[in-house]
Amino acid sequence: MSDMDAETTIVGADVDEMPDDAVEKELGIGFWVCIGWLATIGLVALLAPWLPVTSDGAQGGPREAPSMSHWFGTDANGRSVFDLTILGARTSLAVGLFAIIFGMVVGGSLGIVAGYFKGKVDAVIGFIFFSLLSFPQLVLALLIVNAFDQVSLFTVAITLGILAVAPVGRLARAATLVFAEREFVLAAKVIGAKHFRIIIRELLPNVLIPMAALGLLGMGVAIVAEGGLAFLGLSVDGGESWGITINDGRQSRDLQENPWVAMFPIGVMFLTILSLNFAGDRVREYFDVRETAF
Amino acid sequence: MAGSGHAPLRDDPNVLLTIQDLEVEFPVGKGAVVHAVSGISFDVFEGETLGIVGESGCGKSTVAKSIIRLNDIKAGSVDYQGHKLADLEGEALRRIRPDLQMIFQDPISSLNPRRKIRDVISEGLAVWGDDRGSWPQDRIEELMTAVGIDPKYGDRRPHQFSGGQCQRIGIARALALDPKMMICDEPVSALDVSVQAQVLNLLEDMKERYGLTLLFISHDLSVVKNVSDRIIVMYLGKACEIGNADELYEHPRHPYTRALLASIPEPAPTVDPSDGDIEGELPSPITPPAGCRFNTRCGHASDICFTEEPQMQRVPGEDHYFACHHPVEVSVGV
Repeated sequence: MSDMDAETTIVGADVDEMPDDAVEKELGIGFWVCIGWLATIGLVALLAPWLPVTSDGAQGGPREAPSMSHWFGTDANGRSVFDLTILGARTSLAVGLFAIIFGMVVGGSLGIVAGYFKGKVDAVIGFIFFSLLSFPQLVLALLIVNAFDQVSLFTVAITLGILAVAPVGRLARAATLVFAEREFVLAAKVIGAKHFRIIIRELLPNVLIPMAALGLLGMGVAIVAEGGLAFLGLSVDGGESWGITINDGRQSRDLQENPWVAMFPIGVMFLTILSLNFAGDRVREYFDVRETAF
Repeated sequence: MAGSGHAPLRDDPNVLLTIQDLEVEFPVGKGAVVHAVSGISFDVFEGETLGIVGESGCGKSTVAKSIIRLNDIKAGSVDYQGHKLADLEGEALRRIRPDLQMIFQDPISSLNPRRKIRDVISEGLAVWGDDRGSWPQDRIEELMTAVGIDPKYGDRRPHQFSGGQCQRIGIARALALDPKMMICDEPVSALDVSVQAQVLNLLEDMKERYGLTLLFISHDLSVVKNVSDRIIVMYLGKACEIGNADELYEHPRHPYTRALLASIPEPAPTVDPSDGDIEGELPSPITPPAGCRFNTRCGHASDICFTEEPQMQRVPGEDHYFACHHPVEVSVGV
């Protein structure tokens, strides 16, 4: 072995080889269009109380076709579908957002804990996930919603959040299993880091990325699911949501004669879900750095 | 290759780490177990570099990981300065671990891709604060320089470094806790040959500078020979030969060691390369052969090798132990 001086010879040789900063990665124009749409919808929903929109009483005659005064037409009660769509966005987005946050916090924590500790902990948590998954989701949703006298925004969001726990949790568990075997986690153990620190510092940043991608997709699923519940007349009592407006719009011969009542909220919902899915997929690809295992 | 018995253990105050009758098994389902390590005993002096060599799957990494309890120990003891590591759990184990740090085989995988390398290196200090006190935060840059990473790159993430650089970062992370012992599990196997020498030199250099004891694991005999004071040759979960590096290389007594040495391509071999043909595959560690574990592939095997496990015995007058019924005779004058 030669007597190479570690500090001089090697430092020089090695450091000069430093590659330039990581190659610029692009999310692409499509991603930004989606984000733009989501931001617009989100902003409008957020600002709705201060916008000149209302769901109280008729603003025009019943079932008016779209016009300059009512862009999306009016429903059977003469309410502006445009106003209803904006107000509905508040409920739909809130439900979707809250449901997926609930799913990520509860499911994610359970999944990471299961994947990290394995053994009995994993068996118990795995059983919870499988129970949630083997129960028909619609029945589960009906059970939970029916357990409350008054269906509130919170009830719907919690219901859908519980349904999101198992899929998110299983993804978190699978990702954790992959990373927990990696040597940097062993290294943290050898250093003497406590379990909590290892989970927060080493595992969470890695597991969060696939979870975030799934979260965007899951939010779309939750919004659709809220629509499904509304279709069964089980969404927020006396409120507006896309699902509720769509449900109103399919009554009697509305779909044939004045399809705008259902079609406009469906269109907005469709674009929103599409944006969420597309953005979620791009996020996943973007963060899919060389060494990640997904 | 049996290699059971305590003959190689030395009664000496310089002993830092003693492994006795270590056994590790891994369940592989349906009640079957892999006998990864089946009763191995050795010790390490303070300041010594002990090399462990053997084929893939012989249990050398398992021995390394067992010492710091990264896998469960079925039986045996690991004695580090009076601490019975095999019996420690929870907080007691956590407190002792910083003394024994580890360098891993895959340098990229051993660094968290989402953390800046400065945070990676100072993780030990973040965990222990002033408890251990040897490397205050402001000396992280000094440490980075010492391992050959320019501190100005501290904010970069691991994927922006080469394999050799990542291994240096791993070494810095281990050094930050001022460990007594470094367990190097194939630290250069994943690196280019040109970078291997740099990292080996760095390890030697750090060993000198910080008074480390090294446990150096590799399947590459030429690498092990260069860095080790003492060497253990392992086969299928057992030790077959233990001894002073030069002595072992010049006078290998075990047919397996001899075969391994003969397999090194060398311009002037110390053993006849024709000695070195190991035929067949490594037997399954789920059902290891009875008697000497090398019997299925050994040219010298006789009846006793299939029934009786050879015990470790000492070469008179030498720091050299082997476990074989038919040791290779040392030709006079070599």
